[in-house]
Amino acid sequence: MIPEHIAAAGVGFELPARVHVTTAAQLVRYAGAAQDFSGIHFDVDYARRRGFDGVIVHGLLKAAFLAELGQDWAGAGAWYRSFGARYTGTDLVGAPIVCRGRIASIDPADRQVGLELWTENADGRTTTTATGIIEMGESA
Amino acid sequence: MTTAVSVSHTPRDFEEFTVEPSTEHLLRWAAATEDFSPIHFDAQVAKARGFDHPVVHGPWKAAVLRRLLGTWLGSNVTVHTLTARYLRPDPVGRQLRFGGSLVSATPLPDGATELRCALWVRDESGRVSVDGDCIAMSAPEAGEGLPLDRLRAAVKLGEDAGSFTYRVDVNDVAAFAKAIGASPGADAPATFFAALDPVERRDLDLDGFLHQLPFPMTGGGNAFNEVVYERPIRVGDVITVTTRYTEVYEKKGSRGTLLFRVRVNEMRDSTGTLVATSRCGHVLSYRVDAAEGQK
Repeated sequence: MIPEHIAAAGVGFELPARVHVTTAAQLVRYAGAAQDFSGIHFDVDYARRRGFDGVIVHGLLKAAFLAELGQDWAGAGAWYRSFGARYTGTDLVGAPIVCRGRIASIDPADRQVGLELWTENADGRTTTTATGIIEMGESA
Repeated sequence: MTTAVSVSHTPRDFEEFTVEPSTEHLLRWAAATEDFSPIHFDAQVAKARGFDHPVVHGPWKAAVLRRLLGTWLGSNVTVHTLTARYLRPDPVGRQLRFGGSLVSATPLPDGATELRCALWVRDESGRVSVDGDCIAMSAPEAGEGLPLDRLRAAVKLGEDAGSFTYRVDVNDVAAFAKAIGASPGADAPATFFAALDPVERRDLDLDGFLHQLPFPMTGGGNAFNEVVYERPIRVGDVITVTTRYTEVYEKKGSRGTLLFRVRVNEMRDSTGTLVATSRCGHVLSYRVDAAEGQK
């Protein structure tokens, strides 16, 4: 069953946007949780040597923000069959990241909902794009 | 940047070096190493210990061999092991000859060459007083562009590059959920696959030499991540991840030459059942030639 609130929303519906303002502590927390200790996410001198303007947010943390936006909206009984993110721009730590999404498809037979998701920076530029297929109901 | 001295990898004899170790040489060595055993500078003590003359420190002879290796093998070579056996004492003030040969040169899959050398020190009569050997690595020559063939070999393109097993504990999922601002549950968040990536974890590090190329690095990071789940990853899973690199290629971009590597991780549970497959594209950008530097 496709939940009522999704079926009623329909294809094209935009999910309520969410804004994340990252902190250095959050990036370090993510680095520890994901075991991704690339210096571009906590060492400003190293990040500059690598060609960035400062410490940048993990692409996968932005992907996680987007995946969770869809997950929370779909509800606890839903799980991702697939998810993919492309990083089209970098976000510096502390800069607001606006997370948006819309329903791209609804497949009642397979109980699947397709999502398009993206992040925007303060200038309105898209810095991450993502797609996900969420399935409703019990997983194997 | 200095130009690396090119090394011939053909087995050959090294050019001999002759030196007459003086008391000053030995005193300097004694002071530098704090080895003040008097047999190296006090003739009476040396005699009492059964030597006709003060004797040259064995490690001094090894140190001379080590310095000569730099000349013999060239500057882009790293000495990994050097072994010296001291066979005879050499009296101070008598001529010593240092020499050796390159015995073998074995090309390695990552483009480096393993060099094995035999080394010796001989006295005036030609008797061997030090017998040694050495294993050194010769780095590949810096070519005109990015070393794509070396990279393809290093990451074992198209083959399994490595397998690692990770236990998914409740604390791991909770810490990950907290880091991304999600509420923890028995199912891990959709992007938790990233925490089980041997490359990000540095458990698999086949291409570290990319950070030492003689070109300025102008940026880099993940280009994309994708995952397909058969079921969510759950607390209690023991997941074996097998990594395979599927693509290595370069492309000209606005920030220089872009080097792409794409890898696939297959995640299986303890029964061998597929749980998820992820794909990650990573890009590094370099300024490879002078024209790009003027942009």
